[in-house]
Amino acid sequence: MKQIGMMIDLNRCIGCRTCVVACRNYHELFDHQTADPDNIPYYLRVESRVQGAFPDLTMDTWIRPCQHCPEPGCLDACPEGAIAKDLETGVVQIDEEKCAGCQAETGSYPEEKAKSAPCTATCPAHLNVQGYVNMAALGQFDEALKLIKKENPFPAVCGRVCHHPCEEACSRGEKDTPVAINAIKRFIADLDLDPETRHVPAIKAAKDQRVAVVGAGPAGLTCAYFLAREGYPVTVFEQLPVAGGMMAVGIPAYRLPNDILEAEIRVITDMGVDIRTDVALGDDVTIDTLREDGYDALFIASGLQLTGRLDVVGENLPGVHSSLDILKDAALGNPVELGEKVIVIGGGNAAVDAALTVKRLGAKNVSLVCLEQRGEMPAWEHEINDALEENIEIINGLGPMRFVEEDGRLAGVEFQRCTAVFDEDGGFAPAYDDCELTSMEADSAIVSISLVGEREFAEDGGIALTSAGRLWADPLTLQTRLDWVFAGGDSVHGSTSVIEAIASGKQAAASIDRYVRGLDLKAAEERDWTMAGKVFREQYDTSERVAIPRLAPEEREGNFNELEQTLTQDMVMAEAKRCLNCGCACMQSCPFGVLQFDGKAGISHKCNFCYDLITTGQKPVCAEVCLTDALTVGESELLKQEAESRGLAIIEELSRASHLYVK
Amino acid sequence: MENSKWIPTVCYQCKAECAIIARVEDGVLKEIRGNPHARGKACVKSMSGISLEYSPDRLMHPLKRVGGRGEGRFEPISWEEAMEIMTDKLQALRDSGEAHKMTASFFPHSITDPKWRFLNAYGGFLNTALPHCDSAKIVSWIKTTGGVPNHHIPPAWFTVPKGGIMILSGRHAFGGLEDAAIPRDILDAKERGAKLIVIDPMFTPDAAKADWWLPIRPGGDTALFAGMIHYIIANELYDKDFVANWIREGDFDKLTQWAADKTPEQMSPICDIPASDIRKLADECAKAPSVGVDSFKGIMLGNAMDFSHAWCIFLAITGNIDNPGGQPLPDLVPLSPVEPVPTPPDLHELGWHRTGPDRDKFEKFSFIMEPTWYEAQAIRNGDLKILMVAEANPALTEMGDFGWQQAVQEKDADGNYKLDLLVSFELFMSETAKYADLVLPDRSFFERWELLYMPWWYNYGHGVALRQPVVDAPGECRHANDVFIELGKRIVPEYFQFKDLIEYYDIELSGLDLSVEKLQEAGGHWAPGTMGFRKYEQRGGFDTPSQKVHLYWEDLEEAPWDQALPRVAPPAEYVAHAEAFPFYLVSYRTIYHAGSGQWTFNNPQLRDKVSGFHSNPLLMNPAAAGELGISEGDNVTVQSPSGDVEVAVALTERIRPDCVGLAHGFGSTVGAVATAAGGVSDNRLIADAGTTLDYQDLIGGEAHVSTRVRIVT
Ligand SMILES: Cc1cc2nc3c(=O)[nH]c(=O)nc-3n(C[C@H](O)[C@H](O)[C@H](O)COP(=O)(O)OP(=O)(O)OC[C@H]3O[C@@H](n4cnc5c(N)ncnc54)[C@H](O)[C@@H]3O)c2cc1C
Ligand code: SF4
Ligand code: SF4
Repeated sequence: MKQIGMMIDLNRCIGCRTCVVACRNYHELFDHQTADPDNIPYYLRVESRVQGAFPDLTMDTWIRPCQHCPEPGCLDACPEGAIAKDLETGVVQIDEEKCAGCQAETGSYPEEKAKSAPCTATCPAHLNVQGYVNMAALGQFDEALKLIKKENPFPAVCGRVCHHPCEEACSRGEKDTPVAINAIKRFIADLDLDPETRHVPAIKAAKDQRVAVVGAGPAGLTCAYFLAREGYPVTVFEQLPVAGGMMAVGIPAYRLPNDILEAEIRVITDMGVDIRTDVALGDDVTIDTLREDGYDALFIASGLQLTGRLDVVGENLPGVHSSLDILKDAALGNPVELGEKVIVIGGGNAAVDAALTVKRLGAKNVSLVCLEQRGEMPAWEHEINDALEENIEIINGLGPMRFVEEDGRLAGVEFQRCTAVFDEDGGFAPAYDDCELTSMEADSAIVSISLVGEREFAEDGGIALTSAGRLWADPLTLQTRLDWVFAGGDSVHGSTSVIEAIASGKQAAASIDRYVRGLDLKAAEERDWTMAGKVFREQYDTSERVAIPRLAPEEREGNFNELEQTLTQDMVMAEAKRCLNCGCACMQSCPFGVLQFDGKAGISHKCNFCYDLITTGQKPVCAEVCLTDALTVGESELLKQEAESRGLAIIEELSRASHLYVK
Repeated sequence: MENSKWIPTVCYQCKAECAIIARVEDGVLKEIRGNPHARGKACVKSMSGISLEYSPDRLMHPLKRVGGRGEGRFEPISWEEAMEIMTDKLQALRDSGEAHKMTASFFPHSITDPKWRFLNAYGGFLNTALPHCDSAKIVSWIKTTGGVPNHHIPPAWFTVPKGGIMILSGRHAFGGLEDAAIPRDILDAKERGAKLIVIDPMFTPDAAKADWWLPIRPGGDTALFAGMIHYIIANELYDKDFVANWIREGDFDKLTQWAADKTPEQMSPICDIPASDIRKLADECAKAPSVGVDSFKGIMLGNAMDFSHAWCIFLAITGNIDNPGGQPLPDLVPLSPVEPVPTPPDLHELGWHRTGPDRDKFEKFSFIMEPTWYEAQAIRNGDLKILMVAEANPALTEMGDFGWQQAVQEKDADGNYKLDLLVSFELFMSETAKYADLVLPDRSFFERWELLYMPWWYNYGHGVALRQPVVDAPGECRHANDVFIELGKRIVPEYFQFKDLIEYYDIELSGLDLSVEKLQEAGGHWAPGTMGFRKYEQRGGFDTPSQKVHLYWEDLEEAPWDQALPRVAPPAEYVAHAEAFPFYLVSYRTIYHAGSGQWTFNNPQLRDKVSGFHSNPLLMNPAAAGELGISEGDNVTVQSPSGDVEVAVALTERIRPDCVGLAHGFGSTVGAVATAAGGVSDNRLIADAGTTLDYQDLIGGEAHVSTRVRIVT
């Protein structure tokens, strides 16, 4: 396919916006009547960058029309198949007939519709939720999977364990109940489990620079996935015998079966990523040896592998365990001896998981004791409900004072009443009433308070730590103080979630790509995820939210069978139709934000490279009127040659698709 | 697009008046381009002209005031009634022998303008209702070479040779106001190997493209140029041939004496440019094949004449007059007179001065055209009875504290307005129209005939251009020129014997063997040919009395101060109140807006954040703001010795820490778009020139764009 593009000469563009208005006039985007500056549609905009401090300054300005991407995000996102690439020119066009404006009601809140849907904006990894939900509604599951995997290599995992903040934000929640987004994703993602239907992304031309990743958790593997997609050879070092991090050894199998995780990891290894288990950073390799081995960049995503200590009497007694150890042993199939009566200390998700796991391992009587009152518990609501369903006794407002010893091992725990968990500023500062003591008998206790990371390898390797003891990395670039070493995931951000670890891994991959290509890391563009704030549609499918099938409590005993079940195809399609389509799916996937919603026609529109003009030998309007003759149009490849022959350097961070930005 | 055609005409979104083509489809204006047969470019304002044309705020019918002036209450009347009101008042004033108490304010953009003819025939005056942005430059060049470049005649950048130097000193050339092709020409010259040097307290888009940016202290230009002149003379780097052959005898010696103590070291503290940089710039300029200088804000300060003078001297001694890349001198092709030619009234002969009782005080200052503040003064003195305003907005343009607005409301002992009749021709309701007795709906530049003959077009290669209607005017709109012709026919018919505007233009064009029709056929414009260089060589001299270049201006030796050679001190408006008002106000311009008229400020495309300039925050350097504890977006009060405005702060490294920047012309209180988008008027901070006479230059210069301010949180 031929690809036409534009060369934008930053030596010439003065940011005057003559092109913006001329483009609007030619495409008749403005009625010249509306007295509402700032809500006038446009196909291209001027961007600028000022660098330095007075008086040593530089300033660049350039235009941002549709980039007519070789692999357009918008095209993948459109559920109607309304976006296509012209074979003759490579121009990306929207078919007005097919575009449904994501079921817009014509004229309704065009400025709102042009914003991102709340689900997409809220998702830490910014999956194009509205796009895949709509594809699911139409039964286009393959396309939906492809769209999801543009942003997330672990949809089947997330479809099971994600705390889905998208659903909290879902506009449908304002009408009745949110769309069951995660369950829809899970159905789509299960295609990945079958070698026949799974989606392995295309891999770009192989690159020379090698990247090492430490930690095969979601952050590390996501980074590896995105770098492999770009063509980099990636090696992942994992200290455990299995890959997956907390997905493998933290989250219990009744919520995330092993084969699901393995199938998604297999896609990554099939993409060429080399995962080496039983190799620990600090012991088997060090930051220095990795450097010596010729890796060009390193990403550390070692997570938080240790449980914090309580520092109370008896903590080292036999019979006192940490939740992470128990969960890990359960996951790896190591024998676990706990007795009948088990007390879990802690109010977070790991505590709940540990409680439910030991229940499945045979403990008869499991109590969960924590400082917080029910409403203050850090565990997610649905996890607490799971615990209650399975007859876990939850005792709130108690703090452990001592572990009671009998015959050299644990016999019980003594608690004091906790009067307040947080200080006035909301900081963690428990206060106790030591007159009110409670004693409980126990065969075993499982401590599950804060998670902490190992620091030795970092301290030895010269990686700076934060005051909270985590690895320090620049928030925008994830670069550590060692320029070739990047860090992310829980080891940097503290205990978060799988999807946030994925977002962090993706951010690291983008940064590492820039780093090895010698680009300015700070120039990374942070996309503005302005959220649509209104529910637009007056008319919509008023069906109720689907009920997600779950194992009855009695069916769960003594096994690690999956608790929540996958929806059927009919249920998924029906549920997906409940989406109100807050924004437009294409707009949410364009990395350049160039699409707009045409409130009059009720469809989305964008620059079409003045298709009628360029196919009749004329210039597109912007190039025609440019005040400074800054724009040259031609075949992308020829433009590259022209830039070279004119001694113009290509600005890589701007030239991400078919247009060349040169200086 | 079968019914679509491109028609050549002339833009009037700003005073540059670029030749454009307009696409009309089924009688509707759709698109604008630069005219490819002329200079080929039209800017963002021009492109937005369509939004002006179809604005729902357009005035469609004549209106007559019903409430008091300024209340903005009107009722529709017929054109005939409006004509009668104007004719009766004008006739009565003329009959009483006081025709000179009538003034029309409009931009004198063409000497073919029939409004001007009416004024001369009637016996009234032209008042531009604009401060005098370029008088200092005009006067300086007339004194130096006898030629008349104004600020619309920048160096012909398309003639700059490789190695030539282009200096923009307080000039945002990429922001238009000269032909829209200027940015292209400058960048083309750069690609050819010319050097761009920008001298500006702000890092403008021009500075961003410059080879060298010198962030000068405002008002320091004269000192900078004086330092360069010193260096060039001391090191004998001047153009010896030009000095020997073309500079009046004795002038160079006087200059040498004057320059003796203007060392770069002495000048550096005034302009805040290191002495080494002054020497480096002087050295580069003296050795370059050409140097061209353009300035705009630099010639709007109280010492404007000093700077224009220094700039003339600098170009003369480096041999950069009428050469490729230097300062061109226009060569005018005269139009034919329309007989009988009315003679304008002579102020001096009438023994009369607008400022009446203050005459002694004012008379030493000679302004080549009357600036706005004369209007208020004259109304108060009873010397202005009828004021007709077209395409101007004195109520917002004037400096100071609403002096004009108060004067037009002033009443005499009998309770009658001192100003008997105020007429406003406008496209939109404006600040000025709010006070008018008659508001007359004008035609836009897409709806009217206008022959434009402008000396300053000379170096763009077009001498005469035709503006022609491309679409029908809405409602009852009539062009001010047609109205003035009809008034002429009613009141002074002997001077208005021609049938209509077209016949009038045909007569004027006849000497060039042209007519309106021939111009239409020729693509809307006609050019005299090439611009020509060093024309003084063939002609044997310049148009000065000595036929040589005059560097020394003996007529300005005497009181109130000696200005025979430039004064290098900072402008008076910056010296006064320096302690209490620590910041310099930089009133800057952008390409999106022109002047303070509703045409651009009430245009949605030019106020849209994506395609225009929305509002005008106060630009502050973060270091200076930090010292005052001011953060981005804070609301502050900007106080000057004569006024204050409240505005939000925008922090930027692009401005000197001792300056604050405010985009010019905002602050309109009428018009749906203009009021929705907001903004504050920088003019509110500037003292009325009539109240600060000791800031003003002797001739031409007017302290009207800047002052000192302080920031109060
Ligand atoms: C019990 C539990 C339940 C959870 N449940 C959920 C849930 O339901 N939903 C959800 O979204 N999130 C859940 N989370 C949180 C989520 O699992 C984590 O936020 C996420 O896994 C963090 O990803 P990561 O890649 O940063 O770290 P990890 O997943 O911790 O991965 C880090 C990897 O690095 C390896 N490693 C560490 N140090 C070294 C070294 N020196 N050398 C080599 N390898 C090393 C570790 O062995 C590990 O495999 C849960 C967490 C826990 C503990
Ligand atoms: S709309 Fe966006 S994603 Fe689609 S081709 Fe254009 S720039 Fe690429
Ligand atoms: S018209 Fe040309 S110079 Fe102006 S903003 Fe557009 S590309 Fe830049």
